[in-house]
This record gives sequence, C-alpha cells and structure tokens, in this order.
Amino acid sequence: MTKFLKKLLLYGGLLFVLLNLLVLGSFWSLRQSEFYKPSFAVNQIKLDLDYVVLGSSTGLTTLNTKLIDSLTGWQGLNLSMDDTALPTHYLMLKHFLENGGQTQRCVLAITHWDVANASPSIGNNDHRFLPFIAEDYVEDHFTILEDEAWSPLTTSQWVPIYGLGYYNTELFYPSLISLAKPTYRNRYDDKGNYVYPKLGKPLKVKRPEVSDYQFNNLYLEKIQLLCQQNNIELILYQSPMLNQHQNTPDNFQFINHSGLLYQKTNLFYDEIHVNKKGRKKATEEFVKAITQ
Amino acid sequence: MFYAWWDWRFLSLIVFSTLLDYSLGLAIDKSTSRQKSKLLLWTSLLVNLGFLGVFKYYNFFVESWIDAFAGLGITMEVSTLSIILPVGISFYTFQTLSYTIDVYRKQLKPTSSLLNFAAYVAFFPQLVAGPIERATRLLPQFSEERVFNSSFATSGVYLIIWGLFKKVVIADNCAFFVNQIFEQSGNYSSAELGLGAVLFAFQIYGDFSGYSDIAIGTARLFGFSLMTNFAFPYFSRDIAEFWRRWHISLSTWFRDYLYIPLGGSRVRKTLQVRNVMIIFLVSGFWHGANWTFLVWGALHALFFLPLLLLNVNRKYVSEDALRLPHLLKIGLTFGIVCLAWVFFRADSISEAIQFLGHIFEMNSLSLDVFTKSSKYLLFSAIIGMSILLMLYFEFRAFRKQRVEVHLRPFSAAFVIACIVVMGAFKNQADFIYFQF
Repeated sequence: MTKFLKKLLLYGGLLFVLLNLLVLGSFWSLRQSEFYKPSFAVNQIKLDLDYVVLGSSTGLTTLNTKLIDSLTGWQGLNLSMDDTALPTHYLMLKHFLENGGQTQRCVLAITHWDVANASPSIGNNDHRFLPFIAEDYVEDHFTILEDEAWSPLTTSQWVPIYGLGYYNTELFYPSLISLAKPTYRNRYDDKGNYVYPKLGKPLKVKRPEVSDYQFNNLYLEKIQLLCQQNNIELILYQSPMLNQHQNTPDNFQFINHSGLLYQKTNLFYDEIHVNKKGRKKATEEFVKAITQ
Repeated sequence: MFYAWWDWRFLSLIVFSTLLDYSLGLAIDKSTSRQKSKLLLWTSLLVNLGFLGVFKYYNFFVESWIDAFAGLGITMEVSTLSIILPVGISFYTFQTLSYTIDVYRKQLKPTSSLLNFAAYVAFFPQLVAGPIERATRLLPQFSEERVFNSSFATSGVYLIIWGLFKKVVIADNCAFFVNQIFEQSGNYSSAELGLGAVLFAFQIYGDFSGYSDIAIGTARLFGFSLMTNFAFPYFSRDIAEFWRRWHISLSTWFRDYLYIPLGGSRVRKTLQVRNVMIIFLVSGFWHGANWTFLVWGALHALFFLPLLLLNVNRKYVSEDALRLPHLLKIGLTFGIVCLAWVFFRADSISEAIQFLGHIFEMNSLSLDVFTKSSKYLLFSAIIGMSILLMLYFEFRAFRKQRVEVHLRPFSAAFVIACIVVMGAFKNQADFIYFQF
C-alpha cells in the first residue's frame, strides 16, 4: 500500500504542478490581453485620464466615452462591467489606482437597488479579476465577499487550478483566444463601451414609479473615501429609466437622469438600459450636465 | 455517517430494513418447515416493498386513483403524503431483498455477523445509486481478509477518473442544453429537439455510468470488487444486447428474481411475451412513480419482443468483431433507445408525445440553440469534443472485448486535464439516479 500511495502522491503531485503551470500560463495570457476589463484597465493606464466611468451594465451601455471625449476634448475610459455591483466598482477603482492609473474624475453609475443593498456580495463577473489573484486587494475582495460553499475564488490564492477549473469556460478558453489575439476585447470597444445591438422585447409603458434613494451600501462610502484619498472628484450618475424616476439626493454630487428619457420606448433596449439612440441622447445630456 | 449526511431521519428506515432482513435471514435458515420459511420470506418482501410503496408510489397511486374517478365524474378527496423520497431506497431495498431470497433458495448461508450484514446493506460507494449488489457476491467479501492489491487499487483510481469525466464533462454539460430543450420543447426546431434527445441519451449515460464507475473505483480502493454495471451500451446491435449492457445489476436482478421465477424463456411463447412485458414494465416503474417510466419500459418491451419471437434475442452474446452492418445496427438501436429516452425525461406522456411529434414534423433543420451566442457555441464544442473522446476510449475497449475503459498514466493525466478545462463545475447537476 505504501508503494501505491507513494505512486499516487508522485503522479498526483506532478499532475497538480503541471496543471497549475497551465493556470499560470492562462492567467498570464489574460493579464497581457484586453479580453476582460480588469486587464484592459491596467493596460490603458498609460493614458492621462480626465475621467473614468464605473458601473454595471447601465454604466457600460449608457455613457459613450468616445462621444464624451469628442464633445469635451477630455480623455476617459469606461471601466464598467456588466452584472456587477458596488463592491466590484470599488475593486475596479482600487485595481486601476494600484496599477498606477490616474484620473481627475470618477463617474459612478449607480442603481437605486444597489445603493440600498445593505448586504453586498460578490459580483457575477468578479472571476474576471482572478488573473490578478496575487494582488492583496483582489484576494481581500474575494475573502470578504465570497459566500459560496466551496469558495472557488478565495481558494484560488492557494490552489489556482480550482478557480480556473470552476470558471473554465469564462477563463481558460478566453485565455486561448487572448494568446492568439491579445487585442481582442469581449464585447466592448477600445474606450470600454458597449451598446445593445437592437431593440429587445417589446416595451410597455407603466404607471410611473417615483422613489427616494436609500443609501445603505457601505461600498459607496468606501468608493467615496478612496476617491478622497486620491484627489478624485466623485460624481454619481443615474442612467435613464423607462418607467421610474428617482428623487435627487442632496448629499452627493449627482447627475440624476433617471427621468431624462421617461417613457420614450424607442430609446430603450429594456426598462433600465438605453439602446444606441438612447445612449447618444443620454451621453449628450451627460456632457451638458458635467460641463456646466 | 455517509447516509445521515443527506438526512439523518431516514437512517431509521435503513437500520430497520437491515435488522429485519438480518433476523429474517437467520430465521429462514433455522426454519425446518418450508411453509414457515415462505412466510418469513413474504414478511421480508411485504415490509421492504411496503416501505418502497409508501415512500415512492403512494402519492402516485392516490393521484392516479383521484384522476381515474374524476374521469367518471366522481370527486374523491384522499390526502397525499408530503414526504420526500429517501435517497437510494430503491437500490438498498433490492439489495436486502436479494439476500433474503437467496437465503430462502438455499443459495446463500445467512451471515451471523450483524456488522457484516449492515456493512453489506450500507456499503457507502454503491448505497445511493448502485450497482445493486448481490449478497452472494458482496457479503463474503466483508468477512474475507483483504490484502491490498496495488494494481487493483490503481484500476480503481483510473475508473474514478473516467467516471468523473463522464459525469462532470459529458452529463453536466449536456444538461445545459437538455434542460432548456425539454422545458420548452415548443420553441425548438425538429433538428434541435432530435439533438436534444440524443444529448439526453449521453447525459443519462454519463451521469449514471459515471456514478457507477466512481462507486466501483472507490470500492476497489478498499479492496472490494463490485459488479460491472455498464458495458458500453450504446455500441449494442439490438435492444436485447442493450439490456445486457445497460444497468446490468438491475436487469440481472429482475432476470434472476422475477423473470426466471415467472418461467423465463422455458415456457410457451405467449407466456414468454407476458414475462417480457412484466419485466420491462416493472423495470420502468422501478425508476419512478410516473406513467412516463411505464411507457418507457413498455417501449423497450415492444422493441424487444420481435427479437424474442424470431429467436434472435441472443444473437450478440459473444463479443464478435464489428463490421459495417453492425455499425448500421448500432445506429438503429441507438436511435430507438433515444426515442424511448424522450418518455423517460419528459414530465408527462403528453409532453413526450408532443416532443416526438415535433421531431417527426421535420419542420426545420435549424440548430440555433447550439450556436446562438459564443457561450452556447463553446458549450456545443465542449460537448461534441467530449462525446467523441468518450466514444474513442470506449470503442477501443469495446473492440478489445473489455467491459471497462482501461486508462494508462498519460491518458489518465489527459482525462484529468480535460475534466479541469471542460468540466461543468459551475453548472453541475445532481446525479439523476439519486431520485430513484
């Protein structure tokens, strides 16, 4: 039995090392590429930025940084990632700054349900930060927020193969694409923007919903603090919504466009995301507001 | 511990079954009168099948009863039980029954060791989803001295790796499409539905045979030999051969404890037909309390009967070499097996008929569901590659007349790497046979 166990340990250990080398190669490939936003953010820090846009899908698809730059003469990047929330926006800003990024302004596209969330959790796309697991702030983010039983993200700091295996379709195959074409970007342009290609399902106009923001999410405070520490002007932004209107709070510098395109179904992809035409209109109005 | 981890309350059932069959086994052996032995055997049968009936079939019978009377315009008010099915009850019930029956038939001396008998009933690798072991085979292994055999244990490790590949890579990735297609079959083209049925065939095979391989492999690490449960069933050339290769532990159980006692194939043709119908219907019903399983069993009986009537049901017993006509037969057999799987997977008979109806409408050959986004395309590619890989390994073993895939260190390392980069860990699904 000793011989069997020795053999098992030897072959198992060898395989474990080889597979983890594969993971390191895979992570390296992703870090060099622009496939996902975290590596895009790092690879773009050479630019002297006037602003960055942080947010989830509303930030990603509403503010067109190309149009903002052409109208203002500024340099900006959209670092929003779909299917994320304030903790990920905080991580993205931290990641950008820790890697030498500098910006004068941070436009944070928020949603009222996200700022009201008193129990923030890990984002659905936070695994895109796994290639940077060696960084303390990434490791901390996973450790604090991941509540899955088997914690693939947190465990990856010791066993990287676990995270890559768990998120294989999201990480391993993109790393192969990145190896072949490092400049390939996953559904965003060279300024970090994405636009919904066409109208989604038919939209219905409903009775207007008007509500106040409830600020319960501590990650908003963390973003605020991080901006203060780095002399960054924080501007909260609420993107247009089809059937909702949020009252503007007075405790933040806030561009509230929740009712800007109110019930204009031809400018929306769905109830909370504008389409291409809506994006143009929303961006132009944003520029007017920010340059006033 | 293993069983209680799932739900400790059902431990009482398995403990009761164990104590009962242990005592009855000894009592049957001691009994000098045939009548008393028979009474003790019937006690075992009634109690064990009674538990199975209450937990697995009671609600089904009550609901069917209510529906039948509703059809006659009579409203019945009978309450159903809000209980969950104890995991593995169908498996361990059959295992304990085989013990008392074998003791009654004098094919086995009852064990005097309660510990050995309890270990036989609750042997953790195969407790929840088989293979359904026979007391004559497994029980003596608990009392024998086990000497560690390195090559036997190594083969166990390889089998665990192969089983994991089938479960995590093939079954769980197939489930991604199968669940979508079966849940909203009206939204898909004929080609998508047809491929959905084929993918379910691979899903259930990967899921169940994968579990069996992991169970057999784990048992080997402890020095126990469990029976082969699957022997490359999708390379079968007719339905009779399919049933000699699919869920072997269950089909041989039914053969030995139901088919042969009914007269088997030693009676006149009409009775043989009756026996075949009974065994397939019972086999279908064993899987679950739903009419769909009965239809699934009935379909297999219908596919089997022509072979029986033409006396060609044992044509492919020997492992002769494959030739081109065999490939056509393999394809045809796989096709009708897939057709029957639609009933097995569907929630109701009408859904299954609708599903098959849409396939045979041949309205469109579009395969959009498999290519509608880069994610779906990636899943399709992973599924395609993994099925080809599995067929390659299995066909090689099949040609060498083996009953399991033999890996070597390098091929095992390759399979592990495939599990890591192709496994559906995030979308993992429960083992299908845990519900039976």
